[in-house]
Amino acid sequence: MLPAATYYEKDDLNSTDLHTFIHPLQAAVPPCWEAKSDWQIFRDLAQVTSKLAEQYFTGPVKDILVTPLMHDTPAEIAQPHIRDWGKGECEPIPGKTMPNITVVERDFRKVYQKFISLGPNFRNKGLGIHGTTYQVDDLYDAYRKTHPVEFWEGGIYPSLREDRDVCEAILHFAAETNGECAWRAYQAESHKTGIDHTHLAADTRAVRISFKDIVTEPRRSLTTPFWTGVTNNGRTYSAYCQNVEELIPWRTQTGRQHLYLDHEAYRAFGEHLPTYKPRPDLRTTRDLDYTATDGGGLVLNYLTPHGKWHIHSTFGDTLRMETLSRGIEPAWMNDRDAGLLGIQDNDWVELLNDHGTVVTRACVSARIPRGICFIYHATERTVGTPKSRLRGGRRAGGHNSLTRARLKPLFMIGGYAQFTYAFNYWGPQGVNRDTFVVVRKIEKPEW
Amino acid sequence: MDVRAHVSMVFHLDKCIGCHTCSVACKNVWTDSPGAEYMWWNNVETKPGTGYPTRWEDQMNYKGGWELNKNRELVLRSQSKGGALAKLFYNPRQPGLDDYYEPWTYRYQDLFDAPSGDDQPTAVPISQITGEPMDIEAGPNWDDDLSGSPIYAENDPNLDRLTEDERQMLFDVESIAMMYLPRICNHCANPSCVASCPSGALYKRGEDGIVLVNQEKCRGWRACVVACPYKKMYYNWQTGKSEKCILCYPRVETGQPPACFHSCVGRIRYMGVLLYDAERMVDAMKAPEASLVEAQRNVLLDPHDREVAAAAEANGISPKFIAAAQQSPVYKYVKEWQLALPLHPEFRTLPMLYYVPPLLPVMGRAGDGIYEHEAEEFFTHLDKSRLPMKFLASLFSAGNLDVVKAVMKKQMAVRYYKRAQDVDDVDAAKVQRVLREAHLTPEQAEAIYALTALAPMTERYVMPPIQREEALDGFDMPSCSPEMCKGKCGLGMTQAPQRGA
Repeated sequence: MLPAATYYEKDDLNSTDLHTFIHPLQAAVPPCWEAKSDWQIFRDLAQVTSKLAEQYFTGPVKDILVTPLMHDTPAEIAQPHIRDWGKGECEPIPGKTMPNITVVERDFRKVYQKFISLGPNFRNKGLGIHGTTYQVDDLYDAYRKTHPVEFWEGGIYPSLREDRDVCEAILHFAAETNGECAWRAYQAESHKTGIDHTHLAADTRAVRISFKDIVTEPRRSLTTPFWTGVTNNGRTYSAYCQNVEELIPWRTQTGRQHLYLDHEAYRAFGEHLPTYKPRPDLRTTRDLDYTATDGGGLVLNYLTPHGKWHIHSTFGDTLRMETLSRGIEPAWMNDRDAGLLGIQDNDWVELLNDHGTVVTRACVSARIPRGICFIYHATERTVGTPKSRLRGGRRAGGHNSLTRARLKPLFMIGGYAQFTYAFNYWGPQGVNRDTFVVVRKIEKPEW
Repeated sequence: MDVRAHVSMVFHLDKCIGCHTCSVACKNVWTDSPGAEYMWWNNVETKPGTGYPTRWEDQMNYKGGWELNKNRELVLRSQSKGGALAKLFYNPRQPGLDDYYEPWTYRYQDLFDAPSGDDQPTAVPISQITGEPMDIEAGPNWDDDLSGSPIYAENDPNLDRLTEDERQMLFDVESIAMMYLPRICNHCANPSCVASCPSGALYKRGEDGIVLVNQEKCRGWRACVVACPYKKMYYNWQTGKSEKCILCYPRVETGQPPACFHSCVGRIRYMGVLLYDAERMVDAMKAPEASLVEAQRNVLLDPHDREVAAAAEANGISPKFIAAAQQSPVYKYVKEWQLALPLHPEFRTLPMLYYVPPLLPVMGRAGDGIYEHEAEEFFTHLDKSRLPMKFLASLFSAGNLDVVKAVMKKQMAVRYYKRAQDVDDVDAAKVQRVLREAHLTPEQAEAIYALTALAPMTERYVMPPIQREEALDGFDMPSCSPEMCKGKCGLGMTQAPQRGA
């Protein structure tokens, strides 16, 4: 584990889905102690790797690369049925019934040089996603004349040595921040749809957003075919505007808004159309098979919602947030439920089920419906976590000690239509962690 | 007419999301030092709740603010002329650390220094005052989001005006409601803290009304801590001096809004100049409770009125300052639209921070589990609202229901007006009627909507040019004159504070 620089100790880019501004992170101060930016850490690792490789490799080696059947390619419709070639149910055909297999050349001695250089494949193969590609060779050649470069083995490449170089390269070649790239992307998209979409990028074709620009003030990303909103002339981003207004097909099996899933597995589970599923009950979840539910305890449904005083685990154990909340992540419960157990606000309680134990204080509130309790996720156990007698005097667990990740089988479905893989594209929703616990009052915690 | 200018504030509570970013901004800038750990010049409270320090609104206990005596004279609740001396050395109405909270930290170092073992270490809470392990039993925001509602929310002093049934309904899960109340120093026009100070250390700046403590004059008697009914005076136990919100005057003097304003995520805060007539002040402070809001509004002057502007200029208020008053978003909310109300006007300090009461918890009433938003229902159901009108009236109008209802009607009218425009599912005649009953014109509804929902920083914060050099001219205030402070670095004191100095 290596210490990484924080937001204010490095130059970096920041943007979020559907929030159409590009923000800079800037090094206001140097990283504390030995910390380095992520880019510098990987760069240094690459350097050490190259050095070591000199001892073990005399030249390039061949390697096998396996890539999944990708979204926005014909492979989307390669598998109309669930067949496993491993079980002999079908022929193993790369790119059809199994992942693509490619033989690539790797030169581990050159990992570092390649890491700090924007290479020829970037220049020659173009950039794109969603099956839409635009060429950047001329932009690459021009960029090389005005930005830092790396020379090695007779080649001249745009440099990716420093964090700032990487930021500049991304901003210069991304369609969201280079109007020429956006325009070219729409040209390519128009070729696919047979409708001219380039008007969306015509007015901003000359825009080039550099790191210096976003340091001055965050800039709005340009309209591109890689997103579905239209943000021209200050318009608010709203998903799917391009599909509706430009008649660009939705990226589904039918190219339309698509609710019915004709997939075998969805049909088998009865979810080929959106459907109501009742809340799981204790008989289904079986979280208390081995936990004594008598002896002064109360069985409650247990949830772990987003917290108010932290973003997942981040900031949760800072003094400021602890001071503004309760100095601990308490278990919230209804006042009348608490009354049944003689629990008053801020009393110590123990929550337990078959999976684990939590010791914390109770936060008693009429705001919480009866029959449930919750602990905000996801605090670390760094601060104020008592020991638990039930755990043999060891430290009690955190909020997730009580939950189980129950993977829904349909989350495993892929390789078909809009469920085909693409990075950060389609994925299953979060796992439902609802469970049941026994809540008991305890007199005094042990540290 | 004796025209004075005041940098004033509006907090729009319908927009407050209770994120406490304001509190953190303030804490990081001003009260992050030994002796000030427990201070939150800016804090945000959940209402109903007991707040910070606990039950600060209960003046039967704390004796803050002003009251009218038998002769209808305005006197400090906390001291009489004779009693002040006796109370110098012992004042039982002082809030103690238990009324605020004992500031804590954690023994974080244990996480690094713990001996190796089969269990993971944890950082235990310790007191920031004694350094000893402690039980955390109170905090500056302890009743956040109705935490511990049976102990805190149900003991909100504002519930005293409610019937038992109304109180019961407020804490049923199906109808429970809450709102956030961010608080800073109100920089009152009639500040009881200033009046109470035996050392003359507290003063109100003439040019902008900001209330400050002269750290060199303060002797730490803490009469101000008792006298402030909002409990926004704090005693620094390290320096032995009192401290308070300074409205970030170094920022205000350079045309920037205070840190809590600038950082506000919900954009609930507005800052601008109000002009008022000092001659009418006394009458306003002595008004009967039911007409306090009305009386306070009457003190405020129309900056567009030529006579007012001329009188202001004659009083030394610069034309640029008057121009800022004419653009003031605060004037619009407080006087023109009469949407923003003072917090607890019955304390009679004339707070210069005004609140637009929240409509949403009121309208969020659940009828058979369904949220009720029908126009016709609204005006008849206002009396049965989810967050009772009596509760809001106790906070913002000294109990006068009509004042609060009028504000609610206006807010609702603006919503119907805009809904008719944007969604087009409200009958035009109905919109006309709703506007008429709320005493609003369509133009006003449009302007309220724009300033509430769309206004950028430049419209929310109309900062006047504070010209300190002019304000100091002719005053004997060597400790803060630019000439005297030249060559000394930093803000605030020009000599190191010493206890008892």
